[in-house]
Amino acid sequence: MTTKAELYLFALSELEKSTGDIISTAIVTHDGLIMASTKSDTMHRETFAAYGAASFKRAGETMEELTGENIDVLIYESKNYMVVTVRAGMHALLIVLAGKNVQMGLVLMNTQKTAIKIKEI
Amino acid sequence: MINSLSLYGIEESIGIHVILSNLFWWTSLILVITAYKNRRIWNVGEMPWTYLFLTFLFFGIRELGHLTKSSLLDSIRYIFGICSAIFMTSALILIYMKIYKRKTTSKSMSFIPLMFALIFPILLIYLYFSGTKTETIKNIFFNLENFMWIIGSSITVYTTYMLGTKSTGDFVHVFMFFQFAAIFAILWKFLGVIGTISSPIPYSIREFMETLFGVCAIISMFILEKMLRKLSRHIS
Repeated sequence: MTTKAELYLFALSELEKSTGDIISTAIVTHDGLIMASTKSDTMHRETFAAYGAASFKRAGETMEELTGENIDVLIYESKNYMVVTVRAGMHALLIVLAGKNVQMGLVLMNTQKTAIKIKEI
Repeated sequence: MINSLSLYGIEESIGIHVILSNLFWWTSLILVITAYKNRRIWNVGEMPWTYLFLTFLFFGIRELGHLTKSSLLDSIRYIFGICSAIFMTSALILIYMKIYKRKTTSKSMSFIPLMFALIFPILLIYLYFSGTKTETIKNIFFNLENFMWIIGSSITVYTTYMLGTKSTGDFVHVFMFFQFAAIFAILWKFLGVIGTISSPIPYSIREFMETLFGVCAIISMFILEKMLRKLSRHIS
């Protein structure tokens, strides 16, 4: 029998294949625990999950204070990297670390599609 | 004959605090073991888990030592307390290094706390066979334990503060209660030092601090274990 973890992993690998220049992806809880993640040479899995969840939480608090609404997507970028975090259901976040050789729109669209898939699992 | 000083909480006694303390620390050990089963979800490495396990195991043994009244066994009890302080400090330093500093600690570096902890039983054997009175040995290890817990817990207050400010969700509570535990450990041992160097502190105050130390430690482990168990059930 296929476990949820395996289904999550399959969704992540599909996202990586369809987008390109993705360095790492992970599905994490709001506590920063890993539900599923793809391998990354540049980052420790736990660090990726912990910082990813923490940044989403802080941004969510800011959004709530400023607009009174919940945050759904968080995007931040540097010279060579970008991070997209999307809410994937009530208890999970999908975090994507991508390089700059990919269009932001494509990353965002595919990440949101995958988040919907994860929600349905 | 009942010692009246013990009755009024002035001197050490075997009372409810010993039972509670043993209950808290041995239950915490079970929680660490059950949390360890889900270590793949929170993969902070083998050594932090080992040190967490040893912290609770050694402190549990230390608390069991309350049931004896021999000076030599008291010294051994203090050694278990010293080791527990070293391991608790090390576990949280390693977790901090791994998750928030992204530094992989080498195998040999990870064993330093274990080597450091080994000094104390050797010191006991040396003092015992060099003819030092058992009462003096007991006092030496009592003071050493006080200092180890004060230093170790001070470091733990710092690491848990750093971990807490960078983490989110229930991890904030895990590190917050660990920090509370460390603060109570500092107070408990600080009162012990004051009692040794100047005015005696009623034992009931110290035992209250020690019990609170145990309460915070068990809450912290309970939150961690619950978090891992819940997620493990969700993804399986």
